[in-house]
This record gives sequence, structure tokens and C-alpha cells, in this order.
Amino acid sequence: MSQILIHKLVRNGWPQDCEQEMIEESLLERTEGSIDNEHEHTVWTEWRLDGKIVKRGAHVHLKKNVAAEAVAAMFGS
Amino acid sequence: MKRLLRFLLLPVAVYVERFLLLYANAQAMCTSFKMEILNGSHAFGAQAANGVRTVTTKDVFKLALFLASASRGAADTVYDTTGELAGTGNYTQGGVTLTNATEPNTSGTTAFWTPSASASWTNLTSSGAFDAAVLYNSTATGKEEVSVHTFSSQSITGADFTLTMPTNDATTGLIRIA
Repeated sequence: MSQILIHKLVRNGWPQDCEQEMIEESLLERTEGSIDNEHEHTVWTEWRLDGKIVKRGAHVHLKKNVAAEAVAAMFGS
Repeated sequence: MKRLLRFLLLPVAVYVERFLLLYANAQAMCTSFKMEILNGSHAFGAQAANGVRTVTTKDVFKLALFLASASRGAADTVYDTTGELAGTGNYTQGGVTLTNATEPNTSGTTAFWTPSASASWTNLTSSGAFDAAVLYNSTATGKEEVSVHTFSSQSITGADFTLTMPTNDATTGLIRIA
């Protein structure tokens, strides 16, 4: 049985300062999702315990980004 | 009755519209950066001696993450912590240093530059949902901002977040001047 590090749900709200603990991964519900469009291909994985997210990671692959147009003016009209 | 309802709801609609307009990150190359290029303020690569000046040391560029509630965009001039993730949950304000092993290049009439490795945060717990990364010159005294890059809103809890760079070419490079 593999174990996974999760945040303890010691309070409601964002668990950024929560303690962490190891838990059997089989006790967690794992879901994956993705977004694919012209700007990004993103994959995320969520682990839930009793319906609450206790761990969530993501990988964003940027596809196309900002461009500036360089313009050289013409003299005269 | 309809008129009364419309009259009462108008301020709410205006507020919601202003909220949506004011609090959103927008993907952009900063306007000030375009001027700074003309002033020679940024060194993405090291030049060989060219008879005008020699830049042998590249600047250090960093990438910082910003909350979805922030309003970063083309009007930004310098990096600051307004709207950045809090320095908690293994996030350090200021962001991460980008690996810059590939010199700027050209193809056709377009110049481009892309960091040579992904930016990643290990065992991160973000202080809120974020949807933007700000690229800035960390070597520059004023931490001049280069660009804002947006993506789908993410919240990370006790796990890794990786931002992989686009293909470094004239069509998709992170920074392109066409």
C-alpha cells in the first residue's frame, strides 16, 4: 500500500498553513482533468478525502504567447 | 415594476462590470518594456563584440505567480508584489529564476526568446487561485517588468506546479518581436 502526503483538514478554508500527514493513497479519491486550447495544455490531479480536496497539483504547458509588432516608419508621405 | 427593478439593479450591474474589468490579469507585453528595448535596458543574451558595445553578461529574469484577482497587464512597468501569491506554502515572493541557456534568435522577420527550462514550484500550497505569471528583469535596479502570461486559473494544495515553456520559435516563443 503506497502512502501519500496530504494536508490535514484542521480548519475550514484554505489549508495553506495546515499540518501535513501521510495517508494511504487508496483512501483518497483521485481525479484528473485537462484543458487544451490554443494558449495552453494543462493537466491537473486532485486527491479528495471525504469530498474535500487535500492535495492538488497542476502542469501548465504554455503554447503561444505575447508578441510585439515592430514598425519602421516611412519618411515622407 | 420592471422600471423600478431595472433602476434598483443598475448600480449592481455597474459594480459587477467594474469589478470584472478592474480585477483581471491580461496577457500582454508591457508597453514600458518596448521602450526599454530601444534604450538597451535588457540583456536576454550575451553579445559578441559588435563595434558599438559588448554585453557579456546576461540579465537574470524571474517569473512570479499572481492571483486571479490581480490586475496585471500591459500598463505594468515594474514587478511588485501587488496581487502576487503570499509568501506561504513554499512560495517565495519574487518567484523563481528562469533558466536562460538559449540566446535570442531570429527566423524570417521575427526575433524570439524563450527560457530554456520549465519554471516549477515544489510542494506548493497557493494562497489562492492564480492565473498569471509575470516575467521581469531581476538584474535591473527597478525590477522592470517584461510581460504577463495568463493561463487557466489554478489552485495548488500540497503538490507541485510546473509551467512549461512554449516551443522556442518565431510562432510560439515566449517573447516575440515580429
